[in-house]
Amino acid sequence: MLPAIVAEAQALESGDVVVLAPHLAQLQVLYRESDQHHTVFLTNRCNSYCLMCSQPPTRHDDSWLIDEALAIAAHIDRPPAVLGFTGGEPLLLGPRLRQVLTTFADLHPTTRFEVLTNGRLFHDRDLATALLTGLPPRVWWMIPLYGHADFLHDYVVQTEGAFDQTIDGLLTLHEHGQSVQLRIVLIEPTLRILPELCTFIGKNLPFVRQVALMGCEPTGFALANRSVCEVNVLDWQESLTQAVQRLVRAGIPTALMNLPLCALPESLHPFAHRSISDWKRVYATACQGCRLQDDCCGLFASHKRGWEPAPLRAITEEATL
Amino acid sequence: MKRKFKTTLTLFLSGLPFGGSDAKSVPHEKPSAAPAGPIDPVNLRPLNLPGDNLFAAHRSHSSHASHRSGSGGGYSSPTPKQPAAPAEPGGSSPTPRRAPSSSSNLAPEGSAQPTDPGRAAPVSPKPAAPRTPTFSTEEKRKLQVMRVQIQLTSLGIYSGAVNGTLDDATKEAIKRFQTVKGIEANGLMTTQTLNALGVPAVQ
Repeated sequence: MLPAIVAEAQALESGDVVVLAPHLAQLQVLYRESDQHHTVFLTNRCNSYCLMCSQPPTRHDDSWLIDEALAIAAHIDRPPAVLGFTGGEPLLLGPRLRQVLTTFADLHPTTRFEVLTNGRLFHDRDLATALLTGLPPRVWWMIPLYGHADFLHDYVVQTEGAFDQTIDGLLTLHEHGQSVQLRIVLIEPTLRILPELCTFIGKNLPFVRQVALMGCEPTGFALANRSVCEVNVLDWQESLTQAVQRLVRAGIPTALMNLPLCALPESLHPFAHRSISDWKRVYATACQGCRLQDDCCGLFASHKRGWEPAPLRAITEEATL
Repeated sequence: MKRKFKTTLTLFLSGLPFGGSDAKSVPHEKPSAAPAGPIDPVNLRPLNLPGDNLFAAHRSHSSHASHRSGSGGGYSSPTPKQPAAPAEPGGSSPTPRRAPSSSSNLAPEGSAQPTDPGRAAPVSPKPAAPRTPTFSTEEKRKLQVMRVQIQLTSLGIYSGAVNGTLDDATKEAIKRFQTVKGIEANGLMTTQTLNALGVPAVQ
């Protein structure tokens, strides 16, 4: 959802960046210094239409978000170690994305930046050159890949031709020496081919810096397409284990995200990250007494309207023996 | 305008324009005239022909007997580099002889007699013109095993010593490789396995 949080009872702190929205009689927090995860929202437009999109795209001209992003860059006092850019599809900003990245990188020279993009527009050589030439190496590109054949990926993103463009984009990024993280959201169509997809990545995209296997956030289109998005991750333990093994064997660092530890076999616990942003993370009543809670990513706050990734249980000393 | 999801793969695929519609809209360019001059035949020869492998240790002979004779097909076959059997002094046999059938079930450690179909067996204890006089059969065998071990090591499926001994670890690795390649996993240095490994047989 929009990172702009409506501040009601929450106290503001020194260092927060806010904007007044008089037409809504609101004050919106654009940057909260005390948060652990920071994301700048660049556009709500997108050229894909993913089955499980948590941020359904709109068609409006929202280029004002770019100006706001530039203003945020200028107002951040103590920059975070990592700052994300998201959308929508940030590459739709075209050359203005480079303006945003350069502005942030110049003003905050110690921060690492992560851009969430489908990478498709990188198949446009001119745009790729404009965006990537001379870009500081502190920028990482987080790109989803949902199949090892065009129709598999195209089906998940509901867009014909997307696979070819994304692969082209990945190779273009590699050509420009960029750092790439691949992201696979675990829904039924991706879980079904997960080990094969990971073999494909190991063989054809060995240059990626990391592959993240991510639980699906039950919000947005995922709710509309519940029949293919809702899975019990525990039913897919074998695929998941195999997929991780294949990536590890290919020498690709692997991370499991948005999956609570009780939804994973113990052998995969070392790969699990506490990935759910602190402002979205909650724990369920079943989590009470769990000794792994401090290491666990927990659940998306949205799970109450959706579903849990697996039947939850508290992991106690006895339970693991 | 709201877009509808195609929530099954079949439904999604059925909506895609496959083949025809796209192809029609793009005018085909006329293929340019074929380049003048003779074209060299594409060499489709496998790395090792059945007869090249001294140490194939095939289990079954007869089913492979036709390999060498089948080269007259759709491509221009290069001349096999393996010469025919050394001519027997005074002999006039036009076809290479088969290996004695008693050697057909050789264990890998077994005799160094050629066991591949189609390969000419050395008929006299001293072949007329041995091509590598410096290597004994046992040395050749060792060399070939070493080549295989090196290749398996570089593929990351063998971590033992490169010592030219076809021991259990080596056979295990060969089996693993054969399984991956869909070759019968017998742990033997068959010609097909050597070709898949890219290892030239020791001549």
